[in-house]
This record gives sequence, structure tokens and C-alpha cells, in this order.
Amino acid sequence: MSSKVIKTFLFAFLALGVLFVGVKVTKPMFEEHRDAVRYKFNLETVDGPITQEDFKGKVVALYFGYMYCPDVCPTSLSSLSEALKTLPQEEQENFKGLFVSVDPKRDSLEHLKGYAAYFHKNFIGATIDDEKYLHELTERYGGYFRKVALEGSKMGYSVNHTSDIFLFDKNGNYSSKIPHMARQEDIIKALRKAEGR
Amino acid sequence: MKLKLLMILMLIISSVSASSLMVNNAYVRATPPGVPNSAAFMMLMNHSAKDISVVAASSSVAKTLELHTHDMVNGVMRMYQVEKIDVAKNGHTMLKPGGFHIMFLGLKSPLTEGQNVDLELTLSNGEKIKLKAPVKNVMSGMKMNHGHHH
Repeated sequence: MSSKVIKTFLFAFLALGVLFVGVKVTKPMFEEHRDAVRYKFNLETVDGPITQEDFKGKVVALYFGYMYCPDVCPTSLSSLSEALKTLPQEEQENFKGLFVSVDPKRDSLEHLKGYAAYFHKNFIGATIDDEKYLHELTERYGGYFRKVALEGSKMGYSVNHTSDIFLFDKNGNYSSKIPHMARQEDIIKALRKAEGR
Repeated sequence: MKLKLLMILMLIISSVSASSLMVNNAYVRATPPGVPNSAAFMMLMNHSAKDISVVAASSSVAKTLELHTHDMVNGVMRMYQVEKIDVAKNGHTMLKPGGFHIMFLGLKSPLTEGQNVDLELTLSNGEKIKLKAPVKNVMSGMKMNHGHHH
């Protein structure tokens, strides 16, 4: 082999190494940025507008639902609350639950506040009177909802929706997703992971 | 021990026997503030040799009661009204969170734990079953059913 070939190989090898290290370093940064864009939100509460920035320093558990939901939403919110209540009181203060209504027509901001606090004192309720935005938001989260007319039902319409709880760490970075009907020990594990414990 | 006795007592009280259908462990969910709806869950047992359905329900605490169910398709929860809830001969059907339930629409006042709610079920054979169902918050209701079945 000529020295020229060896040099070329060496160069290629070094270049790959540099590229590898570069990817290793920038990938988490890139992912953080991508998540920040993917999960950002602008919502309204009865106490004023909120964005993800407002929750720096808190672990956030976000859930999309609607107040007329008789079963699935209360079950999810209660499971989250019960799991949280197994943690010491002061540790619970690290958490904020965020119930995002996808049914702003029926769920007023005032009602949402009382509804969320019913499950845990650190839960707040939010929505925005902009269904297009709510669709865009839930889709970014990998969720989904759709209003479905209930023929002949006094309820008028129901909302089909995904039922996952999204967890974000204290820096606002996505941590994990708790699936519907998760076991309490798995919820606690996910909460602790988001806390960095 | 005291609690156990109390629970057994409650089970007896909440069991209502009709000639064809037996209702066990009925409860209605306490309502969070601002929610005018609720749902009732229970175990329906058919000890007869004929299939029976629940076709309607009513209660003095709400304007309308409807029979609803849930299913989950690709992670999406759907809730919709059904015409009837079937209970096969010598079988049972469980009304539970995530599945069949009796939907209370237009509550006249909020439901709080400790309250008792009257409930009337109309069956496909024309029979009516009257019962009283306690109001429970989400978790104690689920724990109760859990304990009874596993």
C-alpha cells in the first residue's frame, strides 16, 4: 500500500471519529431543542395565560381530557393524584398537574380550576378557546381528540381522546408518557424518573 | 376488622335481589365541582335461564340516565350510548370504569361521598329493579370493585 492510501484511510478514520463525537455531544442538545418545540404550549387559565416556561423548577404532568368525561378522565387524574400522594408531602410540592381541556365550549376556565384542584391541590386546569390550536397541540404530543355527535343522547356530543399523561422534568424536558390504566407502582416510577431520582 | 365487617354489611345492603337479575356493589361517582354528570357502576348477575338486558334507567337526582360504554381503539378512548346492556343466562356483566356504565346527565345537585342515590333499572322482560347506590369518590369506588374481584 502506498503512503498516500494509508494517509487517506487515516484521514477518513479521524473524520469519522470527529463526526461520531460531534453527534454524541450535539444529539442530546438537538433532541432537547426538538422536544422544546414539540411540547410547547400557550394556554389560558382563570388566573392568566400559561406557557411551559412558567413551570421551570417543577415536574409537570400534563393530561388532555374534558370535564364531561364521566369515567376515563377522572380515573386517570385520580390515579395520578393517588400515586403522587404516596410521596412525602414536601416532595409532592415538586409536581404540577396540568389538565388541558379539549372541550373549551363546555369547560369554562373557572370550572376547570375547581375541577383540577378537586383531584390534587397542585393540579391546575387550562384550555384555550381555539379548537384548531388544541388539535395542533394534541397532535404534536402524539395524542388525538375528536368530537363525536351522540345521536339521541342528551349529552349532545362525546369527545374521543387519547388518555396518556405526559411527564416533563424540572427543566421542561420531556421525560416519559404514562399510558392509560397504568399500575400505581409504574406511575410512581415514572414520577420519580421525571424528578431525576 | 371493624372495616371488614362494615364492608360486608355494605355489600349486603348494596345487593338487591330481583327474581331474575341481581345487582351487586352498585355505586355512583362523586362529582368534581362544575361537572353536571356522573356515572354508576355495578355488577349485574343473571341467575335465571334466560338472557336479560337492562334497557333503561332512571333516578330522581338527574334529568336523564343513559346506558353508555367505552372502547379503546389504537389508544383512543371512545364513549358512546348503547341501547341495552346484556346479561347472559347464568352469567354476569360488570359495569366498571373503562367499560359499561349508567350515565347520569343533568344532575340536580352535586353528588358527594356518603350520599345515597336512588336508581331504577328497567329490564327487557319489563321488570323494574329499584335500588339505592352509595356515592363514592373515584378511587374508593375502584378499590372496592378491585377487592371484590381479585
